[in-house]
Amino acid sequence: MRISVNDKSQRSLLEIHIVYNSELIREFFFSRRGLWHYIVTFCLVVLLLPYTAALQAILPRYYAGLPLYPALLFFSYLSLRLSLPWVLILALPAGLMLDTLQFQALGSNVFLLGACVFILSLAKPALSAVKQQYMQAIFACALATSTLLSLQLIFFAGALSLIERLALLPRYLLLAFALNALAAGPLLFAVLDLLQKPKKPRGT
Amino acid sequence: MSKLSSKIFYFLAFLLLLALLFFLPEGRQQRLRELLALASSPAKTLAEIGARVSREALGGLPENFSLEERDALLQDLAQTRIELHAAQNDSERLRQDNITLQTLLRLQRSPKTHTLIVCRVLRRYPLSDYYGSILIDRGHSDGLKPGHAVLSPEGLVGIVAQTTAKESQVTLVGSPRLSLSCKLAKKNIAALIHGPARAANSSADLFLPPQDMLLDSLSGDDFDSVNEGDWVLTSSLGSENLLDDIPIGRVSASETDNAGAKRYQVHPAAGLENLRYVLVAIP
Repeated sequence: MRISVNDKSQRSLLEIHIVYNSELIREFFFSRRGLWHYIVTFCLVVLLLPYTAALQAILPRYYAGLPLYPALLFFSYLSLRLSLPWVLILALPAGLMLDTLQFQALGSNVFLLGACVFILSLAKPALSAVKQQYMQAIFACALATSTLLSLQLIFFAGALSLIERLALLPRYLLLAFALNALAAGPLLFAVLDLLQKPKKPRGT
Repeated sequence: MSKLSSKIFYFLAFLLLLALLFFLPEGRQQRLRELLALASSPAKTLAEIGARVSREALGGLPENFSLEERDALLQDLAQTRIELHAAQNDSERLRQDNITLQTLLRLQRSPKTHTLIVCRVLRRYPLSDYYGSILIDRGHSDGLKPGHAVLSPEGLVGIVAQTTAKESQVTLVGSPRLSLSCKLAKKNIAALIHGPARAANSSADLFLPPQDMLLDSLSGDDFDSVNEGDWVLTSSLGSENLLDDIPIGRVSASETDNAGAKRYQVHPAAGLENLRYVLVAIP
């Protein structure tokens, strides 16, 4: 398309050429690698962030003693897929919701989630080098779970002595690893990758 | 800026923002909590439905009971509830008979009864108001009213300040907002006791436990015979809400104010450091 502005003697004062690639535009609006990728990511975050936070808060009432952390697993996934500033910004509302639902001081779960996200971001290059997606999920969830439990035992274990805290560590760590890193984490990663990651074009 | 240093920078900025949350005033924190509770209620409802359905699918109870065990437990619970109701009716009837007989005999003093309710501490503000207030998990639907005494096995911990249906705010004895009437044990002295003199919104309360309480405005025949070590007890002055004779603390020191009146420092009997459960005395 060509737009031009001419003077009285038909000399071109201004010319604008618009070139569009219909294939690329169609791919941007109608394929999974284009706009839909961002829409799906946005919807996933908006829906899953409060849901996983609420689930993590209310699960102990129905399954007492079960160390399952849906919000932590969701943020482990986000840490590997999004950049650190975005995930830290998302950790604020999620952590605040957890604090409100668990009647804790505002900021406690924000700190826990933010610290886990930071540790995962530091380990991201090493995790990205792992070729199998399920192994990546297992390592990421294991790292996040161990970070969360360590911080909980250090900062939020109340009046327990050091020996009592160390005595709690093996039991909680083993069960939490089994649930979060080996079972729930890879399953969540697989489901979210299925929804969010665009398919590779054929032939590549 | 390298990738590592930029990540550390973002995390430090995040921690700085987090520090602001810890130092928010109490009113702002409360509004934020209410907003977050409203925003998370749909997600909470959905999560509860999912958890309840999965729990039922797995047999019903958190302790992994079978259906027969659950039914037997529910039956026992119903039976116990019926027996409790019958026992309460008998107790009430006996109490009414007692009152009637006392009236007939023209007895001046009727024994005061009270109920102790165990409450769990839901929240304390770690930095801004640690020794000033707590939130407990009972409210006016459980019979609590502002002015009820909150105590631990050692003595008075605070006074119920505000109630909602299911929660209550308690002003602790370490708060400068606390003032109540009291008396000295075995002496004919009435007085007023106040919380430690400190700015209401001072931060870092966690690191600096409150000073002793102040006792002043003494009245009674023996008002000048207060000694160190005397026990200070609550005095209702006829109020229906505050229970009498709960230990508040012991007189630790005395001083004279500008007008020449004596006032005393009272060391609280109950510790405020590790409060997980408290008792509320309902007269």
